[in-house]
Amino acid sequence: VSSSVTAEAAQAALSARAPATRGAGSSASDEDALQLLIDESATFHLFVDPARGQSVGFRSAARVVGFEAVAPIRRLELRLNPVASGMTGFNSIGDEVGEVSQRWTFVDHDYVAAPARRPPPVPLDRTQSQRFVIEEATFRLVTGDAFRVFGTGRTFPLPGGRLILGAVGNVIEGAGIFARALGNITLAGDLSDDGVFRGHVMVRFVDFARTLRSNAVPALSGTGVYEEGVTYLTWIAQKSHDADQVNTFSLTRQGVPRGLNIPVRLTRVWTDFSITNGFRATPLRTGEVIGREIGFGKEARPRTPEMGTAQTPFQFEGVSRYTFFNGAGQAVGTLTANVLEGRSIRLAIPGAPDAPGLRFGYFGPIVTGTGCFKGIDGMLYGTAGSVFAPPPAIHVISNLYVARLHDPDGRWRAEVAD
Amino acid sequence: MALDLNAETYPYEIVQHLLDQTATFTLYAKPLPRLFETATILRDPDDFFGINGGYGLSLGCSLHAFESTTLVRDVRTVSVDQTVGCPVGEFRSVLRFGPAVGDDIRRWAPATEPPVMIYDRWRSQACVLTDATLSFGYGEQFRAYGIGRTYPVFAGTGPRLLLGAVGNLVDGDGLFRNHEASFSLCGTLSAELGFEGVIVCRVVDSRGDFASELEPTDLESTTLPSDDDTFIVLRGQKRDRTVKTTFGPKPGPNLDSLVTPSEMRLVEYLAPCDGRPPLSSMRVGRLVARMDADVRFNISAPPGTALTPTPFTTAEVYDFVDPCGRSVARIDAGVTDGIAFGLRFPSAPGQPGVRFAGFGPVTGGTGAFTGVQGLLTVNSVIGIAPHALSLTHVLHLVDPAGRWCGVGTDT
Repeated sequence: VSSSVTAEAAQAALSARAPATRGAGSSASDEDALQLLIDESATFHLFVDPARGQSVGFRSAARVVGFEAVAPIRRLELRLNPVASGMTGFNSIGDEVGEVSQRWTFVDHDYVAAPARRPPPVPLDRTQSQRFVIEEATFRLVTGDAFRVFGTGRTFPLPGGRLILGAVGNVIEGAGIFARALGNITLAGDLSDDGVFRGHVMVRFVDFARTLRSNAVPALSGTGVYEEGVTYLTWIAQKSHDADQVNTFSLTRQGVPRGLNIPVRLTRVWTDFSITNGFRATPLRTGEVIGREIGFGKEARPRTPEMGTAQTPFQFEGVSRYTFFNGAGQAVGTLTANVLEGRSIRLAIPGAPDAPGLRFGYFGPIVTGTGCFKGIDGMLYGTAGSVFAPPPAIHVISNLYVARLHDPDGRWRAEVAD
Repeated sequence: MALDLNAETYPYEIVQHLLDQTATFTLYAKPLPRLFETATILRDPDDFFGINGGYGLSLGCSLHAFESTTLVRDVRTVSVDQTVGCPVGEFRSVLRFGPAVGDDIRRWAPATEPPVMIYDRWRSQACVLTDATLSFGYGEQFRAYGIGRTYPVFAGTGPRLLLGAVGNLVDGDGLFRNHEASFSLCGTLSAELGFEGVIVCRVVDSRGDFASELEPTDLESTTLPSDDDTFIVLRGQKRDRTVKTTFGPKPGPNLDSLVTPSEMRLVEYLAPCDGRPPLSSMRVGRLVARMDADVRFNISAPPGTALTPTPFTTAEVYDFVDPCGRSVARIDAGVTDGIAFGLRFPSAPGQPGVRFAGFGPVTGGTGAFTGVQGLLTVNSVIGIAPHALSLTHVLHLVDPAGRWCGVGTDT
């Protein structure tokens, strides 16, 4: 649990160190301190409800090239039950908390999007995977708080005519409690024939000032409402000090680095929010270790000094395999997923100005699964904060994952939260 | 002065005979069950770059004898009987992905680390095949290197990912020792990271090491091919020595166009048997289609080698004919990625030839093939002056509705 007292102490401890000892080559206690600071975030889940949403396709040469849509947003609680013979998630969609208005435009795969740039549109083709630009997504809560997002994403056609999508975005403007807040979103869902998005928006605001969080958030559990045909599973990846958590370079036969091998431990996680008495998210709370991730990651485009900003984020990609264990330590299933689109932005960390902080979002399809995930089909995505430098230097991370699974038979759905 | 492709360095019939001194194996590949659960694309388990399904696929297939017989009935009806026989060997390879767009043969680099690109099954990606092995048991095997490309298609109920690839023998054991050979494959990459499709292996066999006196016999079906695919296997050659190859308009700088008409016929090859050396014989059957091919390559380039094959592309029109020889349906296809190697004939010094293999998409069809999607692979040897042909083509038709599969479904 990230308590404010320990976070303050961590900040003070890091501030007291000489710059040369911060970041690269740091000690385990430095890493613990940075972990507490990285966890100073308000992360929460929204469900975009298509029931009363409206969407209008806009056209170019008589063909739909994008959508403008308004839809209610609801509180969404995601819980992962303890791993037993398999894995199940309890999903609960709560009351309406506001609305989101969006404008999406479909673009060529190679188009470089930027907030101030009007994208050249291409026609929507539901049989192809296409990129799109979220020119604007404005989330307005009934409390009067709001934030506006710019981002990019991709569609993925599936059997049966389904079109799912993933996207990442950065908060470019906030109002009310979100004014001047740094945040990013990742979303995943379905796009209907008439352009209505249904799905999940994961929101993560940096909250070093602890203005967005409270322990006193009323519980939502038990509405009994979930997204039909879909189950969400969530967990978090964080580094431990175990020997099997050390990052290494992946090298070609010629000894040239291809990218990084990154092992991480996986634990259960809880996060929620409420708008009763104003917006407040819960602090991040983690549970028992449930698995291990082994991953390979690399820059999708070489870094340049100009990158790493909200205008021009770093771009990354990678593959990971997640192995989940039950309480007896037996593996119950694995899933493999590829990050096809990842964006990270530099983050200054109070008290650790030299620490190479990042906040990021990503998404990609689940490639395959075994055990309890045999035959799995869906999207893996997340938001995260980290302090990262190449090995043997420091890597601290809080990577909140959600797997959005195609689950018409309720194979991964829990009827109650355990 | 332009090269006279039709000149006869040796008599046309002699060159045709020499070209047919190849051992051809048409094989049906089925993914080895559960391989994907443990497979990696690197041997080092601590290097997570090797995770199967990330930056590459570790393919493993059982190979089965395969026979395909096409019957063209009329403008609406083409049926293809496919028989998959007993397992006769294995195919293994690591597929490493390259750029999503662009060419090219330049990625042919057996001695260097393949590119680092992530698997994206919704986009067409170039790939290289490393550590490829075709084995027939009892030490009869060869190792190969190749290139390929994935093709996402949307057919019937949803998206699928096709794979076309070709490769060249690097070294062989047993009968394959000291031979030149090419392989081509076309089929589907499954959600469980397996490959199912048809692999054609052709071995240059001027010594007759693979030659069998046995005639091909009807194959006994022991397992079923994919419900969603139809594979047409065709043998191509010129009707006779009077059929001339001509130069077409130059398609670009340092490129020439050869326009070659040929006849595509049914063909049966002796099926390899598990536990016995893979021997070969061939029986050519009736005419199924007339084909016009426009082959584009640099005719002045030095003969391709295992390290530097000559690139080529083609555009093919298959004009399918009914038993009376009337044109009833058509398929358009083309090789987008082709590799060609110089070919010599020990018994005919000075006679140039080319061994080549390539793949590309089916681009259209008419009649019974209206709306067709799929792939073409070619795996062939030809002479140059005279321009005699010994072609093996496979048309992979995506066929979830079974339009062409079986016994004459009325389309």
